[in-house]
Amino acid sequence: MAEDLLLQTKETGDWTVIEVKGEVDLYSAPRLKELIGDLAGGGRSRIAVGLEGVEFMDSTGLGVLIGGLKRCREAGGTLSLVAPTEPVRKVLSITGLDKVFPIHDTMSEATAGS
Amino acid sequence: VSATGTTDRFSIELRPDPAYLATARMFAATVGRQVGVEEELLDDLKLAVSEACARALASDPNGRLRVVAIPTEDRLVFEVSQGQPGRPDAPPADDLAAGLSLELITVLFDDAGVARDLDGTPVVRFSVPTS
Repeated sequence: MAEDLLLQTKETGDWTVIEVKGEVDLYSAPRLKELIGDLAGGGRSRIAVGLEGVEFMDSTGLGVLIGGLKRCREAGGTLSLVAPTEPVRKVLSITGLDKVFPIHDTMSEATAGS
Repeated sequence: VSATGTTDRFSIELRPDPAYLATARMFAATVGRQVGVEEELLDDLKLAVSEACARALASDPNGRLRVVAIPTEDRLVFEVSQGQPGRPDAPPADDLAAGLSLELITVLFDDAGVARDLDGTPVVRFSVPTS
């Protein structure tokens, strides 16, 4: 069966940090989508998604991140990606999405604007 | 879930449920390692198989989810069933993720495409070099 997807959130000033651990695919991505939607809908529209612990991400996961970015921007915020692993960097690169998202090496760099 | 391996091919058949995509990826990586796919290609292999399975679920949510790996002299050929024999290979036109899945696989593996297997089932087929 599928690996568990762990999602941890914490607030850092204006930013909400989501630390993601595990595999983000067609099965697990809806949980991340719901979390981002709840945060953006609840006024927390500056979101930094920590990807250091993500071993796998498919096109559904990318779609959730794109939808999240759109939602955050509509609410006046943004959605940044932090420390993507090599497999995630690759899928971002081949889809051209590495030019769409703000991508940072560290969480402190991503949330420096709070 | 059932998995078989003979001297000429490996296959796994899974319930048509997204919860089993991780199992399909594990199968692909395990077979890949066993037949000598370079370690640096395994992430691409897992992504391609997972995307092909996701596309299969979009094409026919109740169809079988079957992954076959066939070693040849210098490559490992994957065939991921897309629904049932005789049915057209057609994810819903408005399913953008399913469309992106095939594009991603094509970027990862030059020879990727949609074909039919021996019993007429549409399959996403691609191959990876082995050493």
